[in-house]
Formats: sequence, structure tokens, C-alpha cells
Amino acid sequence: MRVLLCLFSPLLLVQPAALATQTVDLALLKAGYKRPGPPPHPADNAPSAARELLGRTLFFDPRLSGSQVISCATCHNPALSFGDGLPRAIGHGMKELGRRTPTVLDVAWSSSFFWDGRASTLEEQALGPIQAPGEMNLPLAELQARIGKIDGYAPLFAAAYPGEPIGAATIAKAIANYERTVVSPPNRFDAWIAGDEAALTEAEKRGFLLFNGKADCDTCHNTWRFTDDGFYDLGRKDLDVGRAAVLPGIPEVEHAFKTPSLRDIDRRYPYMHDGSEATLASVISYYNRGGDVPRPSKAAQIRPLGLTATEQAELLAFLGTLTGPPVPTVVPTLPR
Amino acid sequence: MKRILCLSSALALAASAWAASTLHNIDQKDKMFSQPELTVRVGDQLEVHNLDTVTHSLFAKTAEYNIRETQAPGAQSTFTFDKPGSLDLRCAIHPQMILKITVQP
Repeated sequence: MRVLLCLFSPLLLVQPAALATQTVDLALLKAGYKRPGPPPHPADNAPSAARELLGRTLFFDPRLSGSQVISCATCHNPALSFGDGLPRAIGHGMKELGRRTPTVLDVAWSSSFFWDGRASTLEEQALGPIQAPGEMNLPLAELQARIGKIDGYAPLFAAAYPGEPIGAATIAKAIANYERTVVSPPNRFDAWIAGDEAALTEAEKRGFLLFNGKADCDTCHNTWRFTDDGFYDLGRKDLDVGRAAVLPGIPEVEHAFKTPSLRDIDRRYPYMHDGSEATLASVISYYNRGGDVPRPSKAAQIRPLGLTATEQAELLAFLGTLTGPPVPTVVPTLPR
Repeated sequence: MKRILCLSSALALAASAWAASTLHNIDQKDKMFSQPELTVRVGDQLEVHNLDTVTHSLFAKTAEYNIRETQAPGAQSTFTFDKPGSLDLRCAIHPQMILKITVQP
């Protein structure tokens, strides 16, 4: 018995991490927001100019929809930070969908896709909206046949994926390949992180500290993309079960939606998964009151924050530094 | 005498089985497992510690295993592997957290 105790006692010494930050190491904090190197990619879909061109061409081509009037870019509009600026997306037959269009910015670094995370790769994601009856409404067999009949696509596919047939797999790879090149531009916050102290005002810097302190935003909105790719119930007045539809039987993910990036956030209103908050100020106000609906699945970090009006203004000022100059996007000439 | 021998051999067998089983430790920190893969043997145990300030929701579902565990910040959970096979232990909240476990006979 003594031997057993001796063997197992070290396990009892394991301590949970310190749950509160006593002092702020600003240099360490800023290091966590440094921009990364080039976008990552899967081994079987390395980036190339030919693949980017093919993917961008498909992305803008409305023939990828049943109606032939909706392209990927219809909802993921480069002129609107690769969103659509609407509270909820508009799909096939001009019918409104249940959730807001997420941006394509920086998706190369995401670990799951859609608001509920039902796709685990960008290639898988790319084919989802095309097939969805409520979105682009084009079955994959028809997609393959239609694209295969367009003569101008053959040389693009041959250059991008030599030896691979024109089909759903190569269409998905090409679109994903292009989407991985859609990276948010450097903004004033990035300049400050890189060492330009004058890039932010003192109020904006205080907002950054609030973001990582009293307001606790960084628990979910962290790293240079300002997202942990996690799924949380924010206590919204909403019947949408979110990720629970993907992982039924797991109470923690009921009403849970993916943490969105905050890059280019000034331009990407309205906010939340259902576009129900018109302004960033109203989003901050929502979090400050700790959400609206108490329920077991609500994330523990959604609680009254006690931010003063000045602190909310500083937080808002900080968020304004996360938007950079628009990304120039070349609209392709579509093959006929 | 025979009874004593039987008892001692049974004890020896039990001791050897006990000695052969291993307790593995995995941490969850910064919403990642401390290692991506783990190989264990049937009879081994795994302790998973949540060192984060957020809840984790562990799950794995295979023919051999059906794991569901909510872990508050600071909590730890213990799992025993009683069948050979392989499973992915994941967090439902943080999909980047995947621990690939191989259970050898």
C-alpha cells in the first residue's frame, strides 16, 4: 500500500494553471499577435500560379450554381472583405438563409469551416455551398458535366492539376487553393506589433490591454487572426442549435458557433452568426451585459464585464485598428 | 505447500500485470494537447489535465470506445484502455485538438 501511495502521489501534485494574470508582460502579450509566414497548405494541394488562377476563375464563375447567377464571390465579395454585408446570406431563389456569410479572409489557417464547423478541410468546404439546395443548388454530377463542357477550362485544369481529371475533386482543390491566397492586409495594429509605437494612439493601446484583460475578449479572439477557431454559446436569443447539429449529444456545443476573426472587422458589419448586431458598439454592449439568455451551454466567459463607457470606447477604438487597406482582387475573365 | 505456491504465483502474475500497466499523462494547454499522438497498451490508463482557463469537451466514438467527458478549467479525467484499437480523442469545442491514440494488445 505504501508503494502504491509513493507511486501515485506525484500525480496529485499536478496543479491547474494559474487562472488569473497578475501582471501584464506586454512584450509577451504582443508576441502572441505576430503575423505568421506564408499560408499553410495540404501536401496534395501546394500553391502555384496556375492553381490560383483556376481557383479564382471558378470562384467568380456563376455557372457553379444551379441558377447560373450565383458564384462564390456573390456572397464572398472581395469588395466587402469577402463577405456580403448582409445580416443573413441570400441563397438560391433569393431566399434568405439562417446565418451570416463568413469571410474568406485568412481561412488558410482555420481548423474547421462554416459557423458550425461541419467541414474539416477547405477542400471539403468548397463543395458544400455549391451542392446545398438552399445555396448554389448545383449537384456535383451536374457541376462536373457543366464545367467539363466549357472548352476554355480544359487548359486551366491541365496547367493546374496535370494528369488529374476535371471533376469535383479538382474543382474543390482549385477553389481552396485560391482561397488560401486570400489573406487580410497588414493594418495599424500589425505595424504596432512589428514595433512601430506611433501606429496606435494611447487610447487604442489601452483598448488592447482591456481586450486582453478586463474585457476578456482574448479568451476566444486570440492570435493574429483574433480567433481560437473554437465554438461557444454566447447566450443569444436564438433557436439555432449551431454546432450541436454536427455533434449531437454534446451539451457544451448547443447554440455554439465558431469564433469569427476580427480582422477587417470595421468593414464586416453586421455582426454575430445571424447578423443581429448592427454595430461594434452594440456587440461590446452585449458582451458587457454578459449575454441575454442564461442556459447550461452558455460559455463561462460570457458574464457581466463591468466596462465603463470610457473603457467601451477604448475597446472600440482598438478594434478600429484591425482593418487594413482593401485587398486588390483581379476579377478573372471567365472561359466560354 | 501447493496452496502457498499457487497463491504466490497468482500474486506474481498480478504484480507483473500491475507493473506492466502504465499511467500516461497528457495536458491541455492553449487549447492544444501536449502531444498529437499516444501509443498505449491494453490495461494502461491516461490522465488528461485541463490547464486552460476554458472548458474542454472530450469525446471519442469507435466500435471499442465511447468517451464523453466535460472538463472544467483545472479538472483532470482518467481513462482506462481495455480493448485494442485506435481512436481520436477530440475536443468538441476546439476542433484543432486531436489526440490520436493507438491501443496495442
